[in-house]
Amino acid sequence: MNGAMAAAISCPQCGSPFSFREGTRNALCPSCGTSLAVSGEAGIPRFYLEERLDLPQARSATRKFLAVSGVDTGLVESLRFEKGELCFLPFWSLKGLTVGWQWMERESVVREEVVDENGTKRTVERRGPREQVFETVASPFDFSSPAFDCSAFGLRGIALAGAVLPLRGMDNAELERRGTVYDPVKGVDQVRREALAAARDRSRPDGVLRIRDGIRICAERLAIISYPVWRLTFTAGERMYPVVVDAVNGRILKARFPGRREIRLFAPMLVILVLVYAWTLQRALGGLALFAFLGWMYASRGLSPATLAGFFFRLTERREDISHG
Amino acid sequence: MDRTADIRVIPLLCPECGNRLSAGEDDVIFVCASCASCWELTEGSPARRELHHAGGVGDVRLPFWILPFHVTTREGAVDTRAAFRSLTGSLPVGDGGSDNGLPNLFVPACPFPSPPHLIRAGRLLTLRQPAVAPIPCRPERIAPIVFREEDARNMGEVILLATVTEARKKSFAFLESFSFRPGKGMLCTIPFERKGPKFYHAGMNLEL
Repeated sequence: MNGAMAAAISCPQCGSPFSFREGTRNALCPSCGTSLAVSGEAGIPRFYLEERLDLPQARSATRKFLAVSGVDTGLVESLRFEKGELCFLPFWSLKGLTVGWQWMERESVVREEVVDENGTKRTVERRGPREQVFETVASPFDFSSPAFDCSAFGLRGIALAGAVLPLRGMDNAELERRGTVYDPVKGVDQVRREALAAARDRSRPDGVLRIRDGIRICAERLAIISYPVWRLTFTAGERMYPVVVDAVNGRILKARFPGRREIRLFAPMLVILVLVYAWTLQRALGGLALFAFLGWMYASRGLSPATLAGFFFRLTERREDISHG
Repeated sequence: MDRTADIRVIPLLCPECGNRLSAGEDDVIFVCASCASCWELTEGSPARRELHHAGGVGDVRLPFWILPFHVTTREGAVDTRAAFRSLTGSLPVGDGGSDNGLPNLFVPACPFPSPPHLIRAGRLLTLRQPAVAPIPCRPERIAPIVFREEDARNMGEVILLATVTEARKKSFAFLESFSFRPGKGMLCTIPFERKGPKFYHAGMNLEL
């Protein structure tokens, strides 16, 4: 998350709104000049990102997506949206410094220049003795992780680093009037463990045989940021399909939609031709072909009159549903 | 305290004299410009902190956490300044106090241009082991205090290991046996002269 991500809150001394950058601890009221410490429940401030798409825009984004995803144009125009729900999904943000050390044992590579029988010089890499290395780890750290299982929403992380939208101080009562606010399930300790594991992975080079480290996170600043998504449902034919739309950029995060309708003249015509041809060759062969066809129909679709009629007279068929995200 | 939303905004006012405390974006300990008292927010309310000032000349004071420490390695316990110098292979510089006293770990409490600079500053001061004798004074310019004692404890081990010779650090057995136990920290400012982007301490011949 960069410096442009500012939260709008009001000063308790004079009531003026002031901006506050997520990841910092204090701010200065521009009106009365009071320094203000910004915190939250258990010392963790909570923010939310305002949605940039309203319900009609989210529906429009869905239609556009379906239009370029292989769904029939007629179906895109005729689909009916059932309902839409704005959801605020919580994400942890942890900033700080990773400091520590790591000791590694790795194989060294020795490069040797050799001259072959043709007099050509070549560089050959040979495995050298194992070397022990001690490194100091010290770097700024920025980590974000979903605060609950949001796999049903198709959102694995939010692009905090690239976000330039203003954050707002979390107001549950206000947000619950607008949509569903999901509470964080993942605890602080788990986020710290995940962040530490990420910090370790980041500083771990390849080709290490043995490693020991003492990496810690210092000057930790934690925050929870709720991210808006639209959860929509539409009907096409007799079926209902769910869609999740990113309420900030209109991206379709997760969706299931009907496959393209295709004309199927070939299968019934082939069956008729084979049966007629077999019958003309020999009646017994024709009977055998008919028996084989009915057996296949029974096994795959059933043998009701409606199924048989559908096979021979329904000339279009819809492909399987397509899942996205 | 404003608690209209799920976010708390706490005005930083000195509980001692009521004056406004000045605070940078990342400050965790605030010094009152009016009465020179020092405060840290713990669970949303200000708690008093002792801030000491070492004697000396300089136009800016850099705050450090000074933590007396014990170290145990496979070579034995390190609980005196002399044993620490033997561990690091360093020579005494200036007045480092009694050789038999506990060694001190110096961890910067102020920001530096980058985290490696921070480690370097702590390493250089820890190697020198300056004797810090607090004096009563009300310094005008103190660099912002952005690290708490807990942060200093977390940074302590790496700063201490940075003072140890390379040959020791490369030994797995040495690191396996290395155990660092910091004592209670003291927050103390040390005067430095500003030289462009760097800080210089003439007494220790030290540039950070």
